[in-house]
Amino acid sequence: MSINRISKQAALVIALLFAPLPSCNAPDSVARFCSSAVVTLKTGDAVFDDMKASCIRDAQTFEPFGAFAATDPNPAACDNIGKQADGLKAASKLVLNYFTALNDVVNFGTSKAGDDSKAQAAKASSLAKLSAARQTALESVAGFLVRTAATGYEQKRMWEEIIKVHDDVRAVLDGLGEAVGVAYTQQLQDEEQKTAARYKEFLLQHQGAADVILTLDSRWQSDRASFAAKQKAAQSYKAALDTLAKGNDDLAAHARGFKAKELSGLLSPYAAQLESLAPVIQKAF
Amino acid sequence: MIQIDPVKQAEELAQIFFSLSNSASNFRLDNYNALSQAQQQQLKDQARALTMRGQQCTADALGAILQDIQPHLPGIKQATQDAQDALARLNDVVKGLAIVDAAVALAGSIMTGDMASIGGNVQGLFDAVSPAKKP
Repeated sequence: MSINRISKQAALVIALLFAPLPSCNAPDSVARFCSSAVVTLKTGDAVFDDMKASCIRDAQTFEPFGAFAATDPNPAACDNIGKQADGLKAASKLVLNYFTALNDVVNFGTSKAGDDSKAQAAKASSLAKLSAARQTALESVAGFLVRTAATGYEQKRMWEEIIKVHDDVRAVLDGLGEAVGVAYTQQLQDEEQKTAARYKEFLLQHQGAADVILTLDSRWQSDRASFAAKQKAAQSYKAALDTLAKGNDDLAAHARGFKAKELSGLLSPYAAQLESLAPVIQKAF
Repeated sequence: MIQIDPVKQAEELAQIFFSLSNSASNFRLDNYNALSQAQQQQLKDQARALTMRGQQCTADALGAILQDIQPHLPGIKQATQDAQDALARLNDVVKGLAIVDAAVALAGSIMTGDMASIGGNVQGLFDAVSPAKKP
């Protein structure tokens, strides 16, 4: 029997044995979705940090210009906001860790396992004193087998986890979205109003001074741009979390029934939307 | 029985206090020349107090959100741990000698053309990386 024929028969046996396993391409779309989820959640840290900062800036608007205070006002309410914001940031980190772990598991099957097994197979080949051509063939086969076996196992585990916790993930993402989309947005709006009032008061105290008016106007335009960027970032963050929750729900609903191509079609729009929203959030801070 | 949503309630209260504070500030600035210094200061202090009330309600809203999401965190934490454990197991398995042994056996079958044992050796390699290896 020729080596060629043996190889073909071997390939057929291997293909039949691994036929029931899911496709190897499915992790690509899941990995892209997971990594865009991680980036989105990371961008939220700056938003949560700004909750206490906004409260302090709000309190500062009641100080007269030129007070030159060496310390910031730190009312108890701002401290409380800081504590709650830290808690929300920790919850966000937990969801981030979840998507990171999924991403690691998915990527393991597509790269690391294959590489490691190839190295192991190379070691095995040299121990078995095989020829160079046969060593190469063995490395390829071993890489493929481990990758396929590991991927099948990982996907099964991964789908189970996604299905099991997708309601919990949604509840946390909804909560984070509410905190930023409503509570923080209200804070920013109040800070903007109070900043304007501070400028108006200063102007009333220096009526008719053209240079004061011009300076204040310039500062106000700059402040307004900053408030607008932060409000847009807050709404984008909320939209991103909604997208993330919907994508995760869809993934859980179709995880078992969909083929790799269908899964890619399902998740790509969510990943693309997340990728487009993250820069808007980062830009404001 | 009417269900009260503590998050929404706190957010609405925060908005009410912020609005009242802004009304006090606007009234003070609109009547700036008509008000005495003492009246100015009194209105300013009241606006500040109302703002801080609003900020406290914001803190309460955030606290209520945290309370709502708290029961959902252990499940996510456990799922993360499971995924990390699975990854660690896979790493261990891939690094293990079992792979080498299985690969050597498979190599032998392929190279000698022993079709009958290829299936068994492929299964051996599969088993080496399968969840049955969970400690």
